[in-house]
This record gives sequence, structure tokens and C-alpha cells, in this order.
Amino acid sequence: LPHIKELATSHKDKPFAVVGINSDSGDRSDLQKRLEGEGITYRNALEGSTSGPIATAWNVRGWPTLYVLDGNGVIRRKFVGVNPQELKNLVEELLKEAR
Amino acid sequence: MTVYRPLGVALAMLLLLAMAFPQGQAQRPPTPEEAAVTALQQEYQRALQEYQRPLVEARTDEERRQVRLDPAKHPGREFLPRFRELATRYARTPAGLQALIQGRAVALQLGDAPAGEQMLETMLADHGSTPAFAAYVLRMPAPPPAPGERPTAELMNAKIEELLVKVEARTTHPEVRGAVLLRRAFLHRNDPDRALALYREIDAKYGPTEAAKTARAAIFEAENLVEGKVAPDFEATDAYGEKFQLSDYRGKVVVLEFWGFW
Repeated sequence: LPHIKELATSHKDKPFAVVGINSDSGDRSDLQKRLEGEGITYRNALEGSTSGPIATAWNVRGWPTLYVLDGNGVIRRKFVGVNPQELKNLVEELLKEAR
Repeated sequence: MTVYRPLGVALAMLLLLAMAFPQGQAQRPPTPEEAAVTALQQEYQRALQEYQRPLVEARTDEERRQVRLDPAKHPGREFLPRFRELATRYARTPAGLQALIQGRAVALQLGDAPAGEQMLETMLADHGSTPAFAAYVLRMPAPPPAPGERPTAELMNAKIEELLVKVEARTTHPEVRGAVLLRRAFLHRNDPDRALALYREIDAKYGPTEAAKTARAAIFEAENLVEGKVAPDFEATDAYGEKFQLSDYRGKVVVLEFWGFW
């Protein structure tokens, strides 16, 4: 998702991280190629399919699904499908709260 | 255009369900009979694409409105008897069920509700106590709206509910009964308390089924993956083979993104 890449770049000097759980089929080198092709530098877990262990444990049934956590690891918001502006605003709000 | 929105929603739901329940848990090569049904299915899809081509080729909404497809030329008319024939030839086998499922889909596309109902009746009689039928319960489409009915989400849900009542009355198989409750929980996804009660009922009554596995995941989500709770930790391996944990990111605002390129 291009807007997530942007978000990761624009907040790279702040206490902020994007963690991807990638559900594409394929192995590690497939994922590396795709990430590098897209210029995605944030960390991505390799799931290998839509029924990978984390997506299954988290009962993810639609993609993309996003969880936004604050600095205490508390879930502040869940998005199934995402509105980029809403996400951006929420992240900025949480970063302000953390200061 | 608003008339079509519920259909869009229904399609999106189907997509979600299709992802949640990948076909064929036990992958075995198809039998020649199943391959024959699949071949007919593909032939039908090609004929349907050809029939609908003017709609696909229309470039604007205005052009789409101008398109008149002749119902008399709908390929379902030719293919419905062919699916029926395979269903009879392969009666009471997995290939027979597949032919009934496809035949019912064709009947519904034609707006032929009685034919669809008849296919479902045969499914119940011959396959009502099989896990394969349970998988169908989770995704079976509702009959189309009757002439004059507006295809709202509520109406389509009511039609599915009607089918579920019928299925429930005809089977004692735990996998199928679990699937009925699970489909009901999906129908009530906008009423989380009601959905959760159904998930708990599935877990309590049909513990060792596939449906209960899904239900337990949903219960876990409702109890742990909600706003205000600390996210459960996990360990993962990233694209470069390095292990990490979600809890490594404590102190940071985190966007956890479940995604794929597809």
C-alpha cells in the first residue's frame, strides 16, 4: 500500500514503526524481490499464504487489515480496508500523545 | 445505481469468505468425474463471458445502460440441463455434489428459483451429512430477489436465513450444523454480541469441527483483538530470515499491516 510506505518514510525519525505481515504465496526470496522492487524498507513477516500462522491466530479474514498500537502495545484502532487520511491522522495523534 | 450496491457488498463478502475458507482442505487430485464437472464449469464461464462481453466493453455508465442482453440467449439455458445431467450421472458422489452446486448457481443466474430449489433439495437428500456440503453452507448464494423486490442487504440476508433454517431441519451432522451457525454468525457480523453468542454456541456444541476452529478464532479476536487491549505478542521471521517479536516494538507507535501484493 503506497500510503503506508509514505507513512513509514515520513515518520522515520520518530518512535514509529510499520510492521507488515505479508500473506503473498511464495518463499523468502520471492518476498525479498517484491519488497525491493517496490522500495519497501519496513519490516515484513513472511507468512507464505493467506492462512499463515499470524493471520490465522489474529483471525484475519480480509486484506488489508490494519491494527494501530500505541507505545504501550495497546490496540487503539482496527481497520479492515483503510482510509489513508484517517490512518495518518491517528498515527500523528498517537505520536503527539507519546511525547 | 444504488440498486447495485448491495450486490457489490455481497460480492465483497463472498470474496472474504472465499479467502477465509480455501477450497479443499485435503488436497487430492480430482477424479475423472470431478474433472468432467470442472470442464463443463469452465466451458460455461467462457460462454457467459462471451454473452456479457457488450457490458464489459462498454466504457461509460451511459454505454452500459444502453446495453441490452437478450435473456433468451443466456448460456445458462443451454448449460443448466447439462449440469443436471452430470448431477444425475454422478449422483451421491463428490462430483455429483459439485455438479449440483454449479447447476444451482446457473439456475440462480437465470433467475430460475424453482430449479435452484430443486438442486438444493437433491443436495440435502444426497449430501446433507457430508463435510463437503458443510463447506457449501458457508458460501451458498441466496436466491435472487423476486421481481419487484429490492435486493437490499437485509433482504438477501433474510433469504440466506431461510435457506439455513431449511438445512438445519434436514441434518444432524455436526459439521453441517456447525456451518449453519457459523454462516448465521457471519450474517450478524454487524451485531458483534449476537455473532459472539453464536460463535460460543458452536464451540460448545460442535467442538471438534472445522466450524468450531473458525469460531474459536473469532472468539479469540473478540476477546483479545479489540481497542483498549494489549495486543497479543507473536514471534515471526522476516523477509531476510531474522526473527522478531511484536513486543520488540514497545515504546513505538506501530501500524501492524496484514497485506499482500497479489
